[in-house]
Parts: sequence; structure tokens; C-alpha cells
Amino acid sequence: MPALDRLRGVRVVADPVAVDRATFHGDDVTVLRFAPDDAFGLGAGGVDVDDPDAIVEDERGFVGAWLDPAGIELHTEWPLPTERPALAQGSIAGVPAKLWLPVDGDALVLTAAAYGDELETRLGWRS
Amino acid sequence: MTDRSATVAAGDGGRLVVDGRPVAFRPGDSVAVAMLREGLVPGRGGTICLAGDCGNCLAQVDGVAYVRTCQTAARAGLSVVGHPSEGLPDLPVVRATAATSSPLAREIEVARREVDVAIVGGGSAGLEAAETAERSGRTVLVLDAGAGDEVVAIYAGPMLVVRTRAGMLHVHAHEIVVATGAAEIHPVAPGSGLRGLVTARAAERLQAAGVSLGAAVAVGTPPEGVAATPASGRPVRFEGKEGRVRAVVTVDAASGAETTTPADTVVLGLGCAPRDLLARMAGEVPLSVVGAAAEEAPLPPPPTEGVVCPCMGTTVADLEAAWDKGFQELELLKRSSQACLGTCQGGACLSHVRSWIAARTGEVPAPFTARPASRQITLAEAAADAYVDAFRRTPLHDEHLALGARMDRFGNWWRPWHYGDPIAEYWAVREGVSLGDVSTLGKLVVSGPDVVEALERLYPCHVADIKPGRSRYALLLNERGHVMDDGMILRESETRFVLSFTSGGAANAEMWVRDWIETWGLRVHVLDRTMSLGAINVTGPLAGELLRRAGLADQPRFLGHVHADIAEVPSHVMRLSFTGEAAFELHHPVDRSVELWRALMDLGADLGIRPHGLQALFGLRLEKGHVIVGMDTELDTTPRRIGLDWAVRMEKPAFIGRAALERTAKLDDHRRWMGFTMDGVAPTEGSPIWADGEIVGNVTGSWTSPLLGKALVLGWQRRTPVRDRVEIDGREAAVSPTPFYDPEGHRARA
Amino acid sequence: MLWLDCPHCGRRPLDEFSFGGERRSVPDSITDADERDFDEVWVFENPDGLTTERWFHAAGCRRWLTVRRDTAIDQVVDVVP
Ligand SMILES: [Zn+2]
Repeated sequence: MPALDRLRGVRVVADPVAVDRATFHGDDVTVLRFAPDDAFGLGAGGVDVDDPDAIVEDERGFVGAWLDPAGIELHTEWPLPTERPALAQGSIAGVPAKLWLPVDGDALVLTAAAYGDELETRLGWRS
Repeated sequence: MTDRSATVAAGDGGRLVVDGRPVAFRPGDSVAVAMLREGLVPGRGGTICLAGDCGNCLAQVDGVAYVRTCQTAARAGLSVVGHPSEGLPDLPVVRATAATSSPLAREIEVARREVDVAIVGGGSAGLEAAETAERSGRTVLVLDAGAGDEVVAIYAGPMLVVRTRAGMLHVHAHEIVVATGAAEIHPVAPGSGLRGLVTARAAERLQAAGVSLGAAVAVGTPPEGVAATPASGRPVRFEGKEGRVRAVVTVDAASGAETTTPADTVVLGLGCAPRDLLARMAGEVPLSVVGAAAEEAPLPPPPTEGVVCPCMGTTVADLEAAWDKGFQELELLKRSSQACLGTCQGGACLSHVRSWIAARTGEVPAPFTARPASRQITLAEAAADAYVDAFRRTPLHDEHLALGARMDRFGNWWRPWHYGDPIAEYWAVREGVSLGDVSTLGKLVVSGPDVVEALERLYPCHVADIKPGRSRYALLLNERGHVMDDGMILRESETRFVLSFTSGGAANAEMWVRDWIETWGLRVHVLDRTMSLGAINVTGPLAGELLRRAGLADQPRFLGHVHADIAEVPSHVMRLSFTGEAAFELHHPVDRSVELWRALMDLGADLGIRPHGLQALFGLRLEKGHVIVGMDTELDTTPRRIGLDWAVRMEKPAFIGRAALERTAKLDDHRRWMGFTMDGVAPTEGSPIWADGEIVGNVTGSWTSPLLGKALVLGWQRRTPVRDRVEIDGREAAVSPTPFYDPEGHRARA
Repeated sequence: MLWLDCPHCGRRPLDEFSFGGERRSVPDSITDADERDFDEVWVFENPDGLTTERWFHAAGCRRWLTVRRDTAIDQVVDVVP
């Protein structure tokens, strides 16, 4: 059974243009763009962003699991995006969640840690 | 149908169990056909259509009531129980779910498909439409009830809800074609509820299945290939014995002469009506109707006597009674007489009701708008796409369980209600030190050049004069001046603030703040940290000592806040109080909560530290008279009604709700929220408050104070003049100023 | 069920969104806190036809969308962030 693990990274909320140009620190960073002004640098240890009022925070609030996205589609009312890479956000098994689909390989399903147990239960990953 | 010669040997198809006795069936039989083969009649009587259009063959199948036996394939061991002849069938017992866990995910799988064209009905018209669409290069899905894919609803979108053999299917289609054909018309006449009546097509099906009809008499258009004696004229009466038909009486239209023809089975070829319920369900969606479902067939003659709607038992006399009360439109007549409201949704009776209305008004009314579901479905099927609310867990959830907490649901979170001894938890706060999990509080970071302007507009208190490192209690008002939420405004720098909100109000507050900042076009960034930060409230007279031990040397004074490492966990330490004692809220990264909690519990062991749950917290706050927005307040509660005028600075030129408050301040107000004290134990929350034999308000919170030795009550008086003495729970209660405890607030500031 | 095209998240069923009411026709009630403001608070257009509404994508990006909807046929005309 897959399991949701803690995700670590840096969250930045700033002017959209500054977020576009932000540089996350780290060797293996995946940038998930939640909204034009909001990005999560998964695996990042810091970020350079050109906005004096940017909100930059260590982000420990998400849990996630890498998996074959085919199993997720059963639990979404919406079809998974066909293009890659893509970030889909919405209800998965009735829980607010997100799905990161990289160019190739497994997808990352993630949700707020507060929803982690509920999502695992609903996906049938725990009894 | 009484001829048993066609009974097959067991093993040919198998046996189902009907009312406790085995009934053999042949491969391909439906439950209804298998029963008819055995001389049993499914349902309580009335015309059998074998097409799923009526409610006359319903039974309880494998524990599910109201199942159409004609649409249910016979299976070995299937249990069929007839509905009681009077009253309703029993409903299955629903399993209770554990009180401390969410009901599990749906039990029925939902599959989803997206197609260009969904075609409902696999008859010739449907297949023709499918071919046409496919030729034009579009993707097509044919949904045929006979093949096991029964469409039960069409919604805007458009979306079709389909019951399949594998579960439920949601089809998102760009276009829908309804090709559901036509349904045969049932007779309306005295005796139409007898057993032994079948439609012409049902007779053909039975003949094909090798079921004998006995001495059959055909009325109207005769069935093809079925040996039946024709009886000319219109059926006006069915005569029978012990519930079975024995003869049909027809009348000749020209002469008016009645003919009685003895029969074992009466076969009725009374014409058809479009089976277009689904086409009438969807409103304005791209939908077309083809084939027989699109043909406006002639209506049957207006019924004059007997049961019109076999599902609901509505008679012609019932229609007349409703009509005479003034319900003279189809939609109204339907609701008042209950005709067309049964499981078949008018499949058997709509054409009769329309004809009956047309005879009175001279105009044929259009069929009514249909509502989902078009077929009886189980609650599990209806709920197959629905999840119950997902309740959140704080990072300390397992810690609470390990400490023996009784968890409960509040504001979409699981929270500890108590840890076994709420009174001990209370005393730990009042006399020692205690931890509370307040991770659920809303926490919003706002930053930007316009942030002060935005907050001055959003809040009724002053914001610009809050110094970095300080905080202020604030109400959140809507445009009507009603209290939506409350919380703290904490300033971190010239351009950055943290806003806190109640646990239940946080999501709404985030929406509210974002909406206005966007509407005003102000340069403010917003980040919700509610689920990224845990929060532990360290409270009690020994809280300062505990935090000293945990590394907080320079402690902020009341309403101050600092960033500091507490037991090596980076924390935003906020000095405020909801309990009435000294309190420090420690906001910290959510992955460090357990570590921080355990460190504090260890460091405070010799101070008698123990955690407190919500039950103790509610008592503690009640002694302080603090309002809980959403529990104590109503949707139209203004600050003055709850004694919080001081939190509204009308000298400010503009803030949300100001205009409304200025107006309502000039109006008489008859509602006040206040404190009461009484002897004995606390009355139940929600209890009415009485004065002079009248209910003048209600209790919103109550607590038997261990410290004060009496019952404390917060509640409403909604009548003026406000009484000094009232009656609650049959006892006298006196209005009391609040806070009940430490009115000067020395202890919170200590 | 209606679906909304969230520009940040994709096409999603309406039950992922929270309703925020009609888009305010007078955006700044702060600088115009008189009769118009009062009407705006208490009186809604609720037209039979084209209306502009606010919907919050609660289960997704947690951002507001402005949606034009034809109330006469209950269909979404377009969505702007
Ligand atoms: Zn979105």
C-alpha cells in the first residue's frame, strides 16, 4: 500500500512576475504553482524572489505519495489532465488535494497533512 | 398463467427463492417471468408490462425493496419477498458507524466517462443516431437499460447518472440523444388492480418465454403471435374472484352495449405513450429526442372510474376532489392528488391524467418537468458520488488518543473533548499549568505595501497604531454590521501581519479577506498557514515558569508576541488569554508539534501539568464571559448585542459594516447577550430562559463553576425591558455582570 | 451539476466551490458608504438572465473566480480569474 509522507520545501507568495522568476535553492526542486502568486518549491531549502513583501515560509504542511496516477482517477469527479507536466488541484475522494504529473514517471498526490489520514482511508490505503 | 405444464426441471436454469419457496427459472428469465411461469404473479396486482415502465411488479429482492422484478435477471438463490398487501415494505437496517470515526468512503464504485454523444436507448432509433454521430467522427456511448446500463438522471452539465451492473457511471456528454421508445398504456377501470392483466407486448414476451397465458382475451390491438380471443370495444370493468381476473367487460362505442368475456388472462393493447421522462428532466441542455419517444401519440380516452395511478392508488374520484379544491394545473394536480408521484414517475398514469385534464379544459397540458431519479435507486446508489465532509486531524491527534482523549468533531476538525477528567483539567489551568491543542485556529499571513490600509478597512478596530511585536483583539464584521468571526491582529513589521481566526470561522475568513483585497485592488499578499502551523496553548499561573524552563527567557508582556525557540522548536509565541490565566500560544511548524508537546509535558511533570480538552476550555472561557462566535452569536448579531461595542471604533471614517452599524445604532434593539448565575448544577445548553411565564431567550453556554461554587450561564434575553431575574430549568437565575471570574483581568496579565 | 473552468486548477464540478454572491457592482463601499452602500448590502439584482457571480475554489487553489452565468438557462457563460 502506498503511504503519504511528509513533504518539505519552501512556500512563496509574491507578485506573479516575481514568482515566475523566483530561484529556489536545492539540487532537486520541483516547483508546484498553486496559483499565479503562490508556489511551493518541493525539496527547496530557500528561495530568491524579487519582491520586498514576498511571504516566504518553510512549508511542512503537506504530505504526499508518488504513484501511478491511474489509481487516482477512480476517485476524482474530473478527468486527469492529458498534457504533461501538469498540476491538477481539486477534490480527490472528497478531500481537497493536488496531483502533480511530471513529464514522465510517477505522479505525486499531495494534500494538507491535516487531511492525510482521511485521504489514505478513502483511497483504501488503510483500514 | 395457471398452467404449470411449462415448469422446467430444476437445474435447467436454477432456482430462486420466492417468499420462502423455491421457484425454478430458465436461462434468460427475469424474476417476474420466472414467477409467472410458476403461476405466481409478482407485485400486488394490476397490469404487468414487463418493460420496467410501471410499479406493478415490485418486490423486495435480496433485501432491497421496490425492485422491479421484470427488470431483474433471475439468479440462483436470489431471495424475493413480496411487499405486504397493506402498508410499506420494511427498509433495511442501516449499520451504525463508530462515533469517533468518519463514515467510510462510498460502498458503490463510480466510474466516469466523457463522450461527445450519449445515446439513451439501444433500440433502432438509438442505434441509428449512434451510427450518424460516429460517421461524423464523434465519440458515442449507447446506454441501454436492457443491456444493464440504465440512465436514472440527467443533470445540467450535461451529466448522465447511469446505474450499471458494476456500479454507478457518470457520463459527461456534450450532447444527449434520448431514444427510449414508448411505453404501453395501462387500463383505468374498476378491477384494474386484479391479477391476470398484461399488456400486449408483455403477452408477446411471455409467449416467447414459453409461459402459458391460459384462456387469454385480447382487448384493443391484439398481440402478435399470441393465441387470444378478441373482445371488441373499450374495457370498462374487470371482474374477478380472490384477486384474480375472471372476465373483462367491454363496451361498444357506437351502441353502448356491454359484453362480458370470461378470461384467465386479459391482454391489453391500448396504445403507447412516449417514454420521455429523461428528456423532461434536464432543462436547457443539448438534448434531442428521437424515435417513438419523440412521437406525440394519441392520448387514451379520459378515465371515468377506477385507479388512475397504481403506484399511489389515486382514483378518478381523488383527481376530482383535488380539482375541486382549485388544483387545476397538471403540476398542482399531481402534487395534491399524488398521481404520478410513485416509483414509475407517471409511467403508467401520466397520459391518463393529461387526458382527464384535457377533457375538462379543452387543452392538453404539456407533461410535467421530471426530477431525478427517474427510477427507484437505493440510498447507496444515490450517494455513490458523494463523500461526507472530510474532518481534519491536528498534528497532535495520536498524542491525544494516547492520553485517553475522547475526540469529537468541531468546525471540521477532530478535537479532544476531554482526557477523562475535565474538572482536573480545569484546575490545572486555574492553579497550575496546562496544554491545549489550538492548532485548529485560523492563521493568515498578510504582507504588502497596502496591508495597513486593507486591514483598516476590514476590521472595525484601529490597526495602524499596533506596533510590531504587539497584537489586538478584533471582530470581523460583514457589511450588515453583523459579527462573522473574531481573532487577533498581530503585527510583525511595518508591512507584515498575522491574523488569527476561530477554528470554525477560519475558512470563511480567508475567503472574506481575499475577496475584499482583490475587490479593492490593494497590493497585499495572503498566505493561509492554518494547516501548516501547529499551535499549543500553554496556560495557567505556572505557564511562565514552564516556558522559562523551555528556553524562553525574555517573555512578552500581555498582547505581545515574539519569535523564539521553545524546547528547540522555532515558535511564534503569542501572549494572550482565553482561559483567564496567563497564556502563551506557541505557533510552530506542523511537523514539530509532537516533539514540542512532549517536551513541554516532560518539563512540566513536577508542576502537575496536564492537557485540557474543549469541555474544560469552554468552562474556563465561560467564567471569563468570552463570546464564542458561532456558538453564542446569531447570524444577525451586532457588537452591541454581545457587549463588544468597545471593539468597534466608530470614529474610524470607514470599515466594513460601519454604515450599517451607524444606522442600526439609531434603532431600538431588544436583544442582549449576558451573564446569569444560579444555584445548583448548570442548566443544559440551549435551555429556554423564562420570565413571567414567557420564553424570553435561551442559554448559549453553561458551566457549574468549581471555583465559584455555582452555575454560570451565558445567554440571550430577546425582550425588553431586560429582566434582572429570570427562570431557567425551573430555578431562579439572576443577571450577573461578566466576567464572573477575575473581572479586572489581573491573572491573564500576570 | 455545473462545472467551472478554474484557470489555476482545471475544469471542476461546482461542489468544489463556495458561492460568494453577486459581484458587487460598486466595488468600493468604503469610500461610498451612503445610500448606495446600503442598497448594495441589502438589495440584490438577482436578474433573470446574465448575472456575474463570485465563486471560491475551496477544494483547489483557494482563489476567487468571477463567473458570468445565465440564470434563465442555468449555464455558465465564462469564467475569469
Ligand atoms: Zn482552482
